[in-house]
Amino acid sequence: MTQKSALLIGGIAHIRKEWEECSSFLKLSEYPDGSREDFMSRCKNGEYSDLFAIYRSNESTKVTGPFNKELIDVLPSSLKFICHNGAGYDNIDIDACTRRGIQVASTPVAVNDATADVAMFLMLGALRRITPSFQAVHQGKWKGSDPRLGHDPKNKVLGILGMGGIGSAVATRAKAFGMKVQYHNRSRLSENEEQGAKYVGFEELLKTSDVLSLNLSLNASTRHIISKEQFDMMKDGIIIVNTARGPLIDEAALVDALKSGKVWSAGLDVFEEEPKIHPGLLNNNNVVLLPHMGTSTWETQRDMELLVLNNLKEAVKNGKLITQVPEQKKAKANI
Amino acid sequence: MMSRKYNVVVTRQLPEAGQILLQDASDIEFVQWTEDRPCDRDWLLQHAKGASGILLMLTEKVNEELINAAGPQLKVIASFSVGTDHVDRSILKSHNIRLGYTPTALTDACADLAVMLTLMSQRRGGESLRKVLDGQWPQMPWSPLLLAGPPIRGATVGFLGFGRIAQATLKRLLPFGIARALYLTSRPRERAREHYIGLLDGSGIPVEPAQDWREVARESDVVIVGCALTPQTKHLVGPEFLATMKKRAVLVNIARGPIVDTDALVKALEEEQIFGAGLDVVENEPNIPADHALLKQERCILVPHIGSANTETREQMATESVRNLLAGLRGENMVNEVVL
Repeated sequence: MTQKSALLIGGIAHIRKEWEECSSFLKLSEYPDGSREDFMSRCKNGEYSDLFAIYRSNESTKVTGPFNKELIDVLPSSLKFICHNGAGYDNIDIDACTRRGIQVASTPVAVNDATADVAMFLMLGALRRITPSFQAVHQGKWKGSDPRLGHDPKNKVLGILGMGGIGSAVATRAKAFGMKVQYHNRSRLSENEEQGAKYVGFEELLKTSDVLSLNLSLNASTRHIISKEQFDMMKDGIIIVNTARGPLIDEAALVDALKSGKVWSAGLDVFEEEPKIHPGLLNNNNVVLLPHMGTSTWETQRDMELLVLNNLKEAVKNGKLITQVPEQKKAKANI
Repeated sequence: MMSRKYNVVVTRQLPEAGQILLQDASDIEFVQWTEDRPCDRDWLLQHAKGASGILLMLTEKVNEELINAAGPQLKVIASFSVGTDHVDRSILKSHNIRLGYTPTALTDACADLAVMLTLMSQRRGGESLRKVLDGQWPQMPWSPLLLAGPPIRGATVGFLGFGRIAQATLKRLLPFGIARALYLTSRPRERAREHYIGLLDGSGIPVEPAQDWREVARESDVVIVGCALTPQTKHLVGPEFLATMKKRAVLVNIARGPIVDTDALVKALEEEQIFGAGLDVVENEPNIPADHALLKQERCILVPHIGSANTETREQMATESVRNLLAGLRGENMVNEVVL
């Protein structure tokens, strides 16, 4: 039987050896760099005509552009699996994949702890409005010209929007800091999964939280889920944390809310048009900014790469995925 | 009932992968030029009669003469090239003939050659090789300034044309420490709309549209010609351009010969108005005999239109051209099609 064929798009940084070991049961090829147009030309030219699976690395969108319908439509008909490195997969058109019989895996779980750690870093930084002091001391100016008092996390109400793996990990950490946790989710979690967090409606979450952490996935219905209308409902002086996806928040509306004081401070790892950041955020030293580094640790990056590879191996050996995206999994009857 | 077979003309032997695709296509009858030289025009005109598709090279002109010789059943021209200056596009458009080409397959190979010519012209590679081959090294022992040329580090690189090949060339030059890039396109002063290699927002050096050709000539240490040949770009690099260039600047042409005025270039090199030139293409190619004026210029490197000559690229161009041809015959999507 002929070997199945797998294509790596982008690079592998931590598990090169494990990837190359797959050559014992997989024909391996790579597209480390190039352009969208070049990649699509090669697809249309039949260069990958026997391709079975794609290992889609984290930075592959920089190489080929998003896996939207236009690109998916020119992928070879032999392709059955796309194994994506990333917990977020908004740059893949899942519907287009499903219609072509392509199954897609992402990397949940592996990202939970590292992203939750960054959420806490941003949350504490925002609570303390740390930015000017941080910058001053590094410049040898000690406290700088604007030393300020912050807030304790203890006894504050943390509202988590999206209580998946990452949201739950944030909840665990926040509880250790003495915060009261409430959440809103597509569906309520079981008591065991909730671990004492209170389930509330979306509006109640906005109205009653002191700190709001966004931990939900980006899709067509959650884009700009936080805009002016939602800011108007929030408590005066709320703190916003976003480690999920930039377009969940209307960034211009956030800038306005910061200016008016409705939002006291914000901690952001992601931005609507990253790497471009709204100048209103750059000019506001009540915010703590990071350049999308939620999962940027040696251990987590390695774990993520391994999970993608394990999905690939499972696809080849057993024709299924370990962490298939929920949109493609059949809805289970809740009996 | 006999199944329909299209008559097809192929003007050259193709690299193997392309030949196989041709032979495997069951709905074509093809006639192919087999000699290892450009096909005779008469042969082409004769065999084009009744052809529905023609796969040809940049050596074959597509004009009214060819279209008329073929007849109304001609549906597709597949060109084994990215340049289409040998094709009268308006004639194809008016006759509803589709045009395939290979714009992406050869980007890397041409950009590689652009870098090679840049370094060779700056570092007097042609001069050096000539002297060694002429047995002059014994008279030329090492000395501090022997055959010294300007550095690439810190250079301002000016691009005439800023498409795929130019951008891929820029990407290759960045690690050599160039300081700045500017580019002139058919829309002067406008930022390039297509970022073929995604680096324009993150290259770390200024990459800016130029005001006009004067700015490119005046500011550049390396001028790289990477634009299409059109009535507007013919002789774009002429006496004025060369006179405006820096004395230590080099000119590189990997696009089409007629964009550079050859006589003006010979004069500019003779009078040391520029430091050197690296050319892959030249007016009147391939008719460049040993006593051609350009070949007498030591600071001119001339290579015989080898821009896309790497074996993998040519294989890819071959398969793409055949697929474009078959798609045009069958009414399907081509790999790459020129919007006429």
